[in-house]
Amino acid sequence: MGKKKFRVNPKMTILGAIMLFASFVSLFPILYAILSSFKTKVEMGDVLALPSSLYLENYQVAWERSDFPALLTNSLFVTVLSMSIILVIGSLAAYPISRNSGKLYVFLYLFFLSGMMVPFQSGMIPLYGLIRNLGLMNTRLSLVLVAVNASIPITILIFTGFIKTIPRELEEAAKIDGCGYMKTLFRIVFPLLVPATVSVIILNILPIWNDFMSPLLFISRAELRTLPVGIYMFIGDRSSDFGPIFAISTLTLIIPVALFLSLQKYFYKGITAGAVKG
Amino acid sequence: MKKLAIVLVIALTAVLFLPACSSGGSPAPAPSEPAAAAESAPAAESAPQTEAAAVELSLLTWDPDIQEVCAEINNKFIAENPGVTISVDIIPGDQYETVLNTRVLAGESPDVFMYFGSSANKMIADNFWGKVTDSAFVSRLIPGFDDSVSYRGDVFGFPMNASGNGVFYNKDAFAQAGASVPATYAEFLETCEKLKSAGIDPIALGGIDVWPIQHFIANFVATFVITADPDYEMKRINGDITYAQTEYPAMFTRIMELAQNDYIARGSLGITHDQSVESVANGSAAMLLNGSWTVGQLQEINPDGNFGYFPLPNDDGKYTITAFVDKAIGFSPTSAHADVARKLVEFYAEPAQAKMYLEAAHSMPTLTDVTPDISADASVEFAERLATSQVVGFFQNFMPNSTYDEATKGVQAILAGDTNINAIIESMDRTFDQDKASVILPE
Amino acid sequence: MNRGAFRQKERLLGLLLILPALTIFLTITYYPLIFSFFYSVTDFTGRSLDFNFVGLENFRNAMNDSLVRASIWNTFSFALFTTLIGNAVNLLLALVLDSGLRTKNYLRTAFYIPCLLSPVIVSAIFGSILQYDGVLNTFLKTIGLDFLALDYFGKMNLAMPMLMALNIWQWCGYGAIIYLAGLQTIPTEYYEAATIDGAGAFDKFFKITLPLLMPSITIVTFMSLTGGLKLFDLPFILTKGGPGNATQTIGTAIYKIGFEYNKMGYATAIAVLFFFVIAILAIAQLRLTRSREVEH
Repeated sequence: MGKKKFRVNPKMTILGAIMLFASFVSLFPILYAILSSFKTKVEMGDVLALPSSLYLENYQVAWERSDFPALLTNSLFVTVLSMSIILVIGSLAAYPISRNSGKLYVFLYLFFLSGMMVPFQSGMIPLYGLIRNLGLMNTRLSLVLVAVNASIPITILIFTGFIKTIPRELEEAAKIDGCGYMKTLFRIVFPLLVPATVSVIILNILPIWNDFMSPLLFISRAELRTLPVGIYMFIGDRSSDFGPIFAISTLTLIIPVALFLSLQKYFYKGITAGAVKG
Repeated sequence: MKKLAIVLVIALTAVLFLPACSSGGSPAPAPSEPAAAAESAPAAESAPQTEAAAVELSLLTWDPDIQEVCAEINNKFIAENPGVTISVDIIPGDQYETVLNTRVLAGESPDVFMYFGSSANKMIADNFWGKVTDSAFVSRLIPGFDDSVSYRGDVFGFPMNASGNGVFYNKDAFAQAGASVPATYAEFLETCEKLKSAGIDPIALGGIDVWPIQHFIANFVATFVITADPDYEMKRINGDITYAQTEYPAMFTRIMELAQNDYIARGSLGITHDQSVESVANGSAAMLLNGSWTVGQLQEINPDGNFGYFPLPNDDGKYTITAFVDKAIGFSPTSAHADVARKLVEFYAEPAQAKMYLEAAHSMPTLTDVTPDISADASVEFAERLATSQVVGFFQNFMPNSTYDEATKGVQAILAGDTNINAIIESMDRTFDQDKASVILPE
Repeated sequence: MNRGAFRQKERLLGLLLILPALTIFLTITYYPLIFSFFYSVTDFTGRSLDFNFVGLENFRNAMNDSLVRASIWNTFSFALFTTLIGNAVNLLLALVLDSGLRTKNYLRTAFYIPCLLSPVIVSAIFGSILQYDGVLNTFLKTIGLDFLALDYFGKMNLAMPMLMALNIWQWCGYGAIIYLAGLQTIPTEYYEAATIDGAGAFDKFFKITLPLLMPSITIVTFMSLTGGLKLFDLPFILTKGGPGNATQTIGTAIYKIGFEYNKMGYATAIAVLFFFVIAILAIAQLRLTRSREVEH
């Protein structure tokens, strides 16, 4: 292991160079969008040129015309609420499933997981009717419900897998000490679930944040729109003016990218948790 | 502790269904919202309305270019009707019908909204719009333009402006290439060739959106299919003919020839309508087979440019012009303020406002007593031709959505290199036979 | 309290804990699915409550429908290609990341960032980059590679490959990370023992790496496959299904038929078929890769 420090391995250098180029290609579209967002309409004409200055008017247009603050608020509301709910009901449901061995529980486990195979389109049209009949059209609550539902399979998968790795002795000890079922769950098991909770958050947060279909179907009032649909409508509105489009794209991608860069370790752990244990 | 937990769990389950028990209203919007209370409050139980009671009307449209003039008109209305606020919402054209349907069917119809004039009968047949038969403007409508907003003797909306299809071209680009306005289709092809040799894209098209392709097609349908058989639509509905027996196959072949000869700008299917208009405005392309609203757009981008109009001619020099009500506006009968909403619709039809709108939109009037000052060459040329030509409605009128879509997709495919025209005709015929029950016939 | 009653109470509590999740799941996933079975044999338009029972007519029409046939073909080829090629790219990337490069952390980050983008943003950005006169083609022309400057939106046979390439570009970092974690669980002793036995790089890969990586392969393949089959957002926003039917997927076709053609009954019939196809394929794939998994 130490020998690599003292010898320059030519193969590694070439590989390093190739990968550096590859990473640039991978990041190019994003860099292009960010750079182009600072170009004036005239500068846009020359696609290969760099912007001459930090032209901020595109951002102003993007921010105001799309009502960006409202979009952001709505997305935050839906994401935070959905995440809270799924953590609670997901962990609650996973506990009996992982601790009981009867056929019923195995069936429930697989039943929940089967949700991963049901495509949204299969039930989309009756779901639309259901939301309408429940009076939930044009409510952010409808988005929360759909988001929670979509997260159930993977959340149960992760929590169940994780709880199974917690030694039962801890719970048995608590029982001997006189703790009831629920007390054991809250006092002993829940605190141990933190790593799994992180995984659940990481795995679910982006799909909820980026969900396009549900708000498209269920929300038509502009003030209740979330980011994905708001941006979609904004882009449809100003079809030849790419400046504001790049500006709004940059504004939107800053959020998950910043989140990711600061919490990288947790992201990687979260993604692999479900995969390697599954 | 156990009992508390049980209660908690059951409560969690119940809480998720609480909204269903309420009156179905949406949760209060974020505190920074202006008083939108009027929209969600149940109409019946509001406190006694005084003169200055807050009335908020929602206005829905798809065209961002008319925002300014609508704001002006709305403000005028507000000045004359204190206590009213109007919020305008814009949904992109491609999603407009879907979103509108969603809202109306969910009981959340906008108070006032616009719709595509050429298919406004959909709004009527499904009761999306309320009657305006006794409104003052009805008697002022130019005969012919009231058809698209009428049904069984009643009038349902105000046709705001009329547009027509044809070829809108850059005169300077033509001069540069030594091209002249064609009188027959053969001359049209020659013109294209001259432009191409001069390094100018003959035809520009914004193909990433669907509607510019539909207007492109409309030009061909009018000139080739309808000129050859003006009654083909009714014959098709009665089952006397199929699309295969109309001029459609030949028409698609002509479009294919245009594509194969590179007369349509490369990369069209990836650019927007606005980008295509820009290319004609600055002369890198010469012609747009689109609608008369293009004139306003061209002039705005290039105020010093010279733009003209001619209808697409067929082999014998004959042509038919598709003219239609571009936008129609109506009010929702289920609105909490239906009377005020109706007033707004009528307001748009008053001569002063109508003139304002038509001049801003560079469009043709639908009312007998309104003559907007339109000076652009192209608009004048268009008006002249319109006055002396055979005029028909938009070709979508008597087709189910699926058939209309098959024709549109067919042309996209042709432009993308597909040569199987029979498959397109077959799809059109098949979907028509399956879905013809959805075609709304005028009565 | 005696053992039996205690047990009973526990079991009841347990079921109660499952109830909230189960209720939502049944209501939002399964209830609509069952309802769609019902709508699929009617001519429900979605606009009026006046509909009729039509038996299997919707299913028969679907077989002859060029839009449906095209969307099935597109969806399957998309899922197949992106799963096979995507998997290979992911694995390759993971192997490279695991090979001891000093820039590993930077690379891992750089390749993961595209996964964070929503399909709306991807469409917005690439809608500009991939235009005929956009940055990609202009760059290619500037360096003399004119023949590579293609009309991606405007050619029937380029539109779908464009979407496949976008999909692979976006998700290569995600699969790579899962594979990387999997690679790191393989004890180096195995490789060392193999070297002593005279095994070459190929042998090591196929006899040690691949079999022990199977659990990761199961997951990544499952996600790629189901994700690919369900593809909706990208074609819906970027190409709107065009040109013609070239980028229509089963998901976009169901949406178009239900919401644009107003043929909800017909659309749900297609959706029902779609569900069964995905279920069968997913189960088959899980069985196949699961059986190849090898314990340490």
